[in-house]
Amino acid sequence: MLTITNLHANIEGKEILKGINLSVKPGEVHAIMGPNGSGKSTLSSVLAGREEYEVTNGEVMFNGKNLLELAPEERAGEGLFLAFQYPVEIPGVSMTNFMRTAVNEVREYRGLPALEAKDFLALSKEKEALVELDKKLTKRSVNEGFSGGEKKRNEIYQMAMLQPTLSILDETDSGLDIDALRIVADGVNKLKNADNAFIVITHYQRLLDYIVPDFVHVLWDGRIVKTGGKELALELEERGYDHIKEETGLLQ
Amino acid sequence: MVEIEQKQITVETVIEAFHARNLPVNEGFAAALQWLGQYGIPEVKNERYKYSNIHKELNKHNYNIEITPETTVSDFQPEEFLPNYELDGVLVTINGIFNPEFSSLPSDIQVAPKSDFSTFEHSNTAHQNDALVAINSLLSNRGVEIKASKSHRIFWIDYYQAASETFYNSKNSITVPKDCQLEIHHLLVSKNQFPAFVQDVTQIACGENSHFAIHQIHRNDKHLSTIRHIFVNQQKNSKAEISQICTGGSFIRNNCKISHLGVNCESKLNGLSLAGNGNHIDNHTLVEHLHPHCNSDEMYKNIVADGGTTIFNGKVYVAKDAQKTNAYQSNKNLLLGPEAKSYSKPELEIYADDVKCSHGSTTGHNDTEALFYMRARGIKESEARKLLMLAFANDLLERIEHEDLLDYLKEIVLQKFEQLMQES
Repeated sequence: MLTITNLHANIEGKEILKGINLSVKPGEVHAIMGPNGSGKSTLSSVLAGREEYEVTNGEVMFNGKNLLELAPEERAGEGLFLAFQYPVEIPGVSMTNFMRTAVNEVREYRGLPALEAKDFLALSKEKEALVELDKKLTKRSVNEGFSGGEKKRNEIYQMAMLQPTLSILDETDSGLDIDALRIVADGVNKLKNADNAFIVITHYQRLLDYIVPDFVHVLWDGRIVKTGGKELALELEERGYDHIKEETGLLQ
Repeated sequence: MVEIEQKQITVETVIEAFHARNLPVNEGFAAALQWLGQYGIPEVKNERYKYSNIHKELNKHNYNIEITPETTVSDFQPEEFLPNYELDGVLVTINGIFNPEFSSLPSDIQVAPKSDFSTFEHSNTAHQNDALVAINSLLSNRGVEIKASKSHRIFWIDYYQAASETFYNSKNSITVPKDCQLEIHHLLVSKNQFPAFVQDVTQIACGENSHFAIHQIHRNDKHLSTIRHIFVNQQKNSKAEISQICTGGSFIRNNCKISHLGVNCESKLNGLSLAGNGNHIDNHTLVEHLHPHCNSDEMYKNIVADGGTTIFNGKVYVAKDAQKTNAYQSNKNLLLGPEAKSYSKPELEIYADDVKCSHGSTTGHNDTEALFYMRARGIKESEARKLLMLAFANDLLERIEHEDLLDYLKEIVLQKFEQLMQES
């Protein structure tokens, strides 16, 4: 589904990603962990198509297409979804209007007819229930006045509405209390199937208790320095990143 | 048909054109002549016309000072401009002249061609030392008088089609007697093959306990330039609302002055200007709080594409006796490109000591984070920009309480957005 080969990326002339290799297949959950500044958020930004980042080398293939040549909206149309670490407030644009526009634009991209108003509402209602999103929030402006937890649940609601094949969760657990964390994780688990895949970017092992990864990758200084199973996350939690650094010889 | 050919519109040619009308120089005209001599046609050295050089605009083309009104235009059809919502009546003016054939008004609204042009009120030009209103007094030869009774909502198609390069001056008056209500949806629209310049003065008298609203929609074509002066006098306990939605015309200058002549007045001003390439839209407002316990609430928003210019200058004046005044003013500008220009000058002049007044101005670009967020959800960049522009315009539009009019306006605004997007 996704193949990243030797990906290098800069921001303002500073190299952040220094050769990422990663392959994700349908049905898989990958966790990417790493200390601050290791390049986790840069990776998600580059994949989603943020223009501030300059890819200097490497290739990203997504379902047979060269992802890096696509505009952000085309990537979404192809089935890529980024759950933002800091969801953006858009005063004056109602959640409903925003979501209906997004759903229908993505449907148009995929060659599907626009949803009728009543079908959209039915779909929305079903997905709101999935993440226990308060119906009142959909009447408000996008993310405006939402609590931290509501914002993150809103991201998962949007993911459910757009039915992506690959979802990247960028530190979705940050700022969540344990109840909100459970709701978000439950939502993801319900959406998971044999045809889609998830990349979960996180600092902490906590989220991985709920969303169990098939692979855990450790990102350090712009490279994936170690890959393992879910037990690697527990090891990191227990022994810290320094242990990995020593082990991989990066602390000289 | 008497027409005076001239290359320039100057103090001298205006006076010459006035004398050619052979009108007796009564007190009003004498005052206007004196005012014109004293202040002249505004140029950039006049602070209030710093960004709108009227002298230059008036002489951009060889406008004739139009003396004999022509009334026939070729292909005017009111249906082309009428909204599909319910109204109590339709008023049509063509080149500033009342057209009874196309108008259909309820019997209890009196509309007549303007008969007396000689009034020139000094008080109307206090705080604004320019001679434009004096020029209008000396030259205007058309206009309507509207007098309401009871409660009505009418649509006014104010249509211009010039037969040659013409400088039109018209003068209107609107009277809303005590306890009456009048709401006017005023569409300013034109189809010109020649450049034309319209200056009109509309005097509005709101009686005690009356409710008045005029929502002006400026949709003129690119050949038409306009200077529109609105003077509103509010008696005690009256409410007045003025909206100026500007989407077309090459040069627009609106001077809007509201005076409270009694206690408990309320005034609401709404402005939305969408300036594309070649649009120059200048809104000047003055709200005079002269009596206690009055409120005013003013919001002007501008969206400007490359090659467009907007100006906002709003003054709130609170006299010494106008205690317990609440006056709010806000101006926000959204620039769509590096060549978009927006000038803003909010002003407060307060002599009372027990008042609540605020004013503010912001200017910025589209939020790039919001844009990326929407695109990451599959929304095309053009669609995302449109949503952000509509969001910006919405809190102004939603001040207009008439829902059908709001829908009608949104359609116009969305159409204009398409044009702005192509220009930025």
